[in-house]
Amino acid sequence: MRRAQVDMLETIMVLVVVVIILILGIFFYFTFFAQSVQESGADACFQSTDVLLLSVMNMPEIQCSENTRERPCVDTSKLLVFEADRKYGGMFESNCPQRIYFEQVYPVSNNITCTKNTYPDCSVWYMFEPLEDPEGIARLSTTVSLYFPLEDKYKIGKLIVEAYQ
Amino acid sequence: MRKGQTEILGFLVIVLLLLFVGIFFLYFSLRAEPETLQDSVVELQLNNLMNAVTQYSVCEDADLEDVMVACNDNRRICNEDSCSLMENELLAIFDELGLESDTFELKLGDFYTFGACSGEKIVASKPLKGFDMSISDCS
Repeated sequence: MRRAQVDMLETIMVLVVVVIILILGIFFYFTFFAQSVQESGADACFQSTDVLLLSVMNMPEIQCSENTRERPCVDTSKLLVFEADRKYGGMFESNCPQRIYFEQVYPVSNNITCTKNTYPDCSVWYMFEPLEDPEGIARLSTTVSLYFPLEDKYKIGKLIVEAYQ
Repeated sequence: MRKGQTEILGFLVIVLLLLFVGIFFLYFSLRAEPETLQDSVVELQLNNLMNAVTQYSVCEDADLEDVMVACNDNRRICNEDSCSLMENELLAIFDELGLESDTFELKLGDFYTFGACSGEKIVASKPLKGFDMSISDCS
C-alpha cells in the first residue's frame, strides 16, 4: 500500500470514530433533554396542583357566606351545582388533568357520592373530573370545614386535588 | 515551548476550571426546589385545619372553639365535662385525619398540648378567647 493510501485510510478511520462519537453524543444529549423536559412537565404539574389547592378554597362559588360576608368554610349545598364530567371553561385549567373532590372525614360517614338525590346523606362531592384513563402522579389535600345548611352544622372534610399524566 | 506559551496555557486551564465551577453552580442552583410555594401550601393547610377544627359543631349550640374556651374557663358544656369532651373530639379528629404526634403539634394556651414538634417547623396560630391556639408541622 502506498503512503497516500495509508494516509487516506487513517483519515477515514478518524472520521468514522468522530462520527460514532458525534452520534453517541447526540443520542445521550437528546435522551437527557427528553428526560429533563418530562421532569419540568411533572414539576409544572405539581406546582399547578399547589396553586389549584390554594385557589379552590377561596372560590366564591363554593365558599360559605352570610349577608355577603364570606366565612372560611365550604357550603356543601353549593357543591351540588358542579357536575364532575362537565367542562367549566378556564375555571380548572392547568398544566395537567386534575381531579378535584371534597370528602367528609369526621364524623365518619358512608362513602356515597353526593347528588341532588342523595344529599345530605352522602360524603363525597366530585367537583371536576376530566379524565378518561389516567395515571396518577400526585395527590394533594387540605382539611376544610364543611357547612351543612339544612342542619346548620359544621363537619370536617378534605379537599383533594389529584394530578394525572 | 516558550515561557509565554506555558503561562497562557496555565491561564487557559484556570479559566476553564472557573468556567466548569460556574456551570456546576448554575446547574445546581437552578435545579433547587422552590420552597416558597411549598411553604405557603403547608401554612395554608395548617390554617385550614385550625379553622375546620374550631368550627366543628360538637353539639346543638357549641362548636369546638366554644368547648376549648369552656375548658380553659373550667366550665361544663353540652352537658359534659368540657376538657374531656375536647380531648376526645380532638383525638378522634386527628386520628381520622392521620395526624401523628411525632410530626404534628397542637397547643392551646398552657392547658392542652397534643404531640411534640422538634427541629424545623411551620407554625400557624390564632387567638381565641383568653388564650392562643397554635398548630405546628414538622414532617
